[in-house]
Amino acid sequence: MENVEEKVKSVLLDVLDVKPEAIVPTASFIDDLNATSIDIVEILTALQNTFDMNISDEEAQKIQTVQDAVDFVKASVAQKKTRA
Amino acid sequence: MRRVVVTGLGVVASIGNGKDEVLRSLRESRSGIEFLPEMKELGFRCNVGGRVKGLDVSGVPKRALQSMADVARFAAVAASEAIEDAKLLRETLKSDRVAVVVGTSFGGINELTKAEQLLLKHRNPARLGATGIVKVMHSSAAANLAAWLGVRGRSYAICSSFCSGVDAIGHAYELIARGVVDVCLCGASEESSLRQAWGCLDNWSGLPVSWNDQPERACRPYDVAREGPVLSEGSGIVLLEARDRALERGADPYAEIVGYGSANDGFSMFEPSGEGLAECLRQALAASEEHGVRRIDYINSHGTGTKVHDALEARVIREIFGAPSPPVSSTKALAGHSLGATGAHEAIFTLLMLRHGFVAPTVNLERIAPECEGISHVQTLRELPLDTAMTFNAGLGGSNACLVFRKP
Repeated sequence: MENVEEKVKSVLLDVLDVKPEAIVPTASFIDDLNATSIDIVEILTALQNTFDMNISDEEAQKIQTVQDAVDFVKASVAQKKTRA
Repeated sequence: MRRVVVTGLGVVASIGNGKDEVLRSLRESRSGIEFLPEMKELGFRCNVGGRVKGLDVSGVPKRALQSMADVARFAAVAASEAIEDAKLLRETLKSDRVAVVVGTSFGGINELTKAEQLLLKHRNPARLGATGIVKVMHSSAAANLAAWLGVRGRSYAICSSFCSGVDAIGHAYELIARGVVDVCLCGASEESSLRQAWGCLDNWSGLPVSWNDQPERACRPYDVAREGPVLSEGSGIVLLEARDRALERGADPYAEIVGYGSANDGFSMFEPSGEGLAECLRQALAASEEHGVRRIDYINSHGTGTKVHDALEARVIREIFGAPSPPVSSTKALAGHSLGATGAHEAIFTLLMLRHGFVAPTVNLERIAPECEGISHVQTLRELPLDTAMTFNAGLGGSNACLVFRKP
């Protein structure tokens, strides 16, 4: 599996106007990375399209930090493997 | 009615990003047309076109870029240059006495098709994100400029096919002349519509097929061997100001706008009749006469390299100006036809020639077609001090528009 952390970081750097050093696992999108509501939608969209997975509204609510995103992607990818 | 001047310009085009590079290309006849592998891959018989190369958006804040597709990014870079060129403080733009009018044919068309492809593939609208709509809408360039620069006057797009740029500048001119606003960022922008519209244009007028190995020779306005337009993209933005205010702040205008004409043929969506073109030239000339203009020193024609329209234009120029006509050239031979942006591009090329005292030739005009004779074609670079210049365009759906500039 390609490095999920790096890909997630790349998505965040693409959407947000932040320096790479700011993207640490505990960073909260809204509180630490100054994400607007549009940014949040764009992050979730980019994650879905980058990793080819769907994120429901309920699941989206729980993705608040960088680590949340990484964990969700890893879990989704694992699930896909299991189903396949 | 107040007098209106052009105090700054900015340009992103196949022949260069920025007025310095564009000026060099015009003087040195450096073509922006190249072989486009994507055209070949997608089954086009014509494999040449003009693309914007190496666009530098570092001057546009990331937050502003979020809502911009190429059409708005081109306009943002061009607008940035125009403001700096005019030596206008950005703070001045944060006013309801400032307007933004930016024309286009297709807006953010590539984002549009990307969105549809995503939806059809995934059957899940969540895959589309939230910024698509503002990237796609035809007013995207205008609205993005207003939001980024803090403009609080009117902001909208003018869409009249290939006349969009001239009509946007003409409309902005009228807004200032009437006193609605004092400053206007105006022009047009168009991103490549290779995948969506170039094919239709190929089916309608034909795109050149004989020059795939010599792209810079493909666009041949008025030439016996012309095979159709070569398409391109980009943006041209000019800063217009009320003349008195501009001179008061020490601006150095390129030109005064002394005439604007716009008229539809009222005839056909596909075939030009020449009536609307003649009418809009008459309108612009009549207006310029009221400003004391007695002679047009140069005409930048529409000159796409199509069989029918080139001949029609030559006929109309002969009718309106008699013989000898003012020197005429088409810069599409170098820069291609940037569709909705072409009027703005050509207005800017014309302004650069006016300022620097030269006429860029219609490159590739090796043998003038008999039906295009009788006008004063410029076939080699001509150093020529210019006092006045005209630019005109004709669009699909019968639109025609014309501007006349006079050196201040």
